[in-house]
Order: sequence, then C-alpha cells, then structure tokens
Amino acid sequence: MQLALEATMQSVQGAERTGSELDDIDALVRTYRPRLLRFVTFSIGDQDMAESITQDCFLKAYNGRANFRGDCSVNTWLTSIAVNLIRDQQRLQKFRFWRQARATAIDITDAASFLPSAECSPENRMLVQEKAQQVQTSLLALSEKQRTVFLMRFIEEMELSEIAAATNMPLNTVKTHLHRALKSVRAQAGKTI
Amino acid sequence: MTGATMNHLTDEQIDDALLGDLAAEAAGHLASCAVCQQQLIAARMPLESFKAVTLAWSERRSATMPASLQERMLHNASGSRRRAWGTAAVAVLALMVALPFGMHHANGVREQSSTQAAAPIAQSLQTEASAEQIDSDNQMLHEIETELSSNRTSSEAMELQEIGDQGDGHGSARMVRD
Ligand SMILES: [Zn+2]
Repeated sequence: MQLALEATMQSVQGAERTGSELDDIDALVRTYRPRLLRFVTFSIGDQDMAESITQDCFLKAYNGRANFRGDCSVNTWLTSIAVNLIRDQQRLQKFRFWRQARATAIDITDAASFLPSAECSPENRMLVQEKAQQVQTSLLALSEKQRTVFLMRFIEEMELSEIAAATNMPLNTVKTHLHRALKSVRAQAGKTI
Repeated sequence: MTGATMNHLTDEQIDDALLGDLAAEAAGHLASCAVCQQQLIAARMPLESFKAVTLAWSERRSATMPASLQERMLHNASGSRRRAWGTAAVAVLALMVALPFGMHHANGVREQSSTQAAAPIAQSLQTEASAEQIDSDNQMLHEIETELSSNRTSSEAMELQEIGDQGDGHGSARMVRD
C-alpha cells in the first residue's frame, strides 16, 4: 500500500515534470538527444542523415507537444516520432539507406573505452566491445522492420505492446520479427573471434 | 517444484525470456534452475554490451554535434523558416544576427529581447564595423558555410533537396537543407 501510494505520487510528479520538460526544447534536446541519435543512427546506418532526422524529430515533438498525453514515457514518444520520420525518409530514399551504409559502416570500435570504469572493468571492456560489434554486424542481416523492433526492444527497452503501437504492427508480428532478430544475433555472437 | 523436473529452456524460450514473453511454466523452471539462469545471462550479455557501447558512441557524437544546428532548429520553430532559409545568404545573415544573442529559447520573452538586441548589431554592420568585428564575422561566415556545405555533400542529401523542391509536402523533415 505504501509502495502503491509512492508510485502514484511519483507518477503525478512525473507528469508535472513532463509538461514543463516538453516546453523547454533545450532541456528536451539535452536529455534525450544521445539516446534518440543512437536509435536513429543504428536504425538507418547513416550518421549524417541520422543527425538530420534527430533534429527533425525534436522539432516535430516540440511543435506537437500538445499531443503528448503522457501515456508513455517521453523517450518512447520521441522514438515513435523517429520511426515515422525514418519511414518517410526511407520511402524517399527508395530503401537505399542501409545498402549505402554498409560501405561506410558506423565505427563503434573505440566506444567501449568511453564506458565509465565503474560499469566496466578494463578486462571486460574488450569482451563488451567484441560483443557489441557482433550485434552491430548481425543488424546488417536484418530487414528494416526487424531492425526497428529489435532496437526498440533492446536499446529503448520498450514493451512489446508499445512497439506494436508505435510501428502499427500486430503484436504477433512484432514477436516474430524479434525472434528472427535474436536468432541472427545469436548466430553472430556465438562465433568466437 | 514442478519446474525443476521440466527440461531446460530451449533457445526459443530463452529468446522469449529476453522479450519478456516467457510462458508461465517455463518461467517457473527458470526461477529455480541455475543452468537456465546462466544461459539467459549469457544471451543477454551481447545485447547489454551493444546498448552500452552504442550509448557511449552516441553521447560522444551528440556532444560534438554543431550547436548551431540547434540554433537553426529553434529559429525554424519560430515560424520564419521559409523566409530565413530561402537562400544561403539570407540564412547566413540570419545566423549572424541571431547567434550572438543566443536564441536558445523559443519562448516569446527571449524572442522579443533578441529582436530588440538585434537592431543595433544590424546597424553597426552597415556602418563602420571594427576590424575585429569583421574578422569574427568572417570567421563565423566561414564556419557556417562549411557547415552548410557539409550538409550538402552526400549524394542523398542532394536528392532529398530536389525532392523537397518539387514537393514541399514534408517541410519539417527537410528544414536543415532548405
Ligand atoms: Zn534449466
């Protein structure tokens, strides 16, 4: 009971915070840009285009902030907007995005060295880096939809129902895509280097 | 303790667990089986690694994103996008006026103060600007030009612009390149 009450208090405070959060575009960008940029980048595989789409996403969110009903997290809401923008762009691009991106793969090689040392001991760093790159490689083998739902689930930690809503896909289709994606990841990550 | 007698989870079930979609019976087994728990941790490890490393990558990249992109975005949000970004020259002028006065906020109060403050600067540009001012203006001009051109280098960006010029139905999606 105590816990339930606290949860309610937190969600009320959360809603208030969210209201002002969306009104301050600076704070919005500061708080969510890295995650959003990551989602878009690894969805489309084009860093420059990802930056542009990320900016568009914040503009669209800011202009449409009255439509945010608070029934999901701000991050989930932004991710949903990003998915639509990515879809628009991919239509315009005639799906050339990812093919082109293979030629100029995003280089995360050194990124593990930026991890806080509290989270990641030096011994683990190499393994973490290796596994991360294997997952990145496995993303190349996925379809657009598989990649999108994979990133939503495992990067943005969205619930399956949230993913279904954001992508306009039936829940079972979302699950099927995710299972295929995980199979691909397991096949890559199972390889020893 | 029916769970302990059940077979270990299949790969498919481990994936179900990763998805948060594991059936009750299998979940019961998992709760009491150290072998399967270890399997799940091993399966989760690459995913967690990818998440952590890509966030580190993105945070670094985000930190180096040009601040003026944000300025531009806010300028666009103020509703004068078309006018300000009709030509590169106008865009550069708009930034030269807007940047020093920090259009960091799209709210009315800041808008007003930046408009008021912009007037004397525009005048000083027209009359006798000091050599220092000219230098710093030129430097800013150069930076803006570099940034504008870097946004246009890729072939797909050019294509996008063509499509945008034809249609203009997706204004907000194309603001950077207008
Ligand atoms: Zn077991």
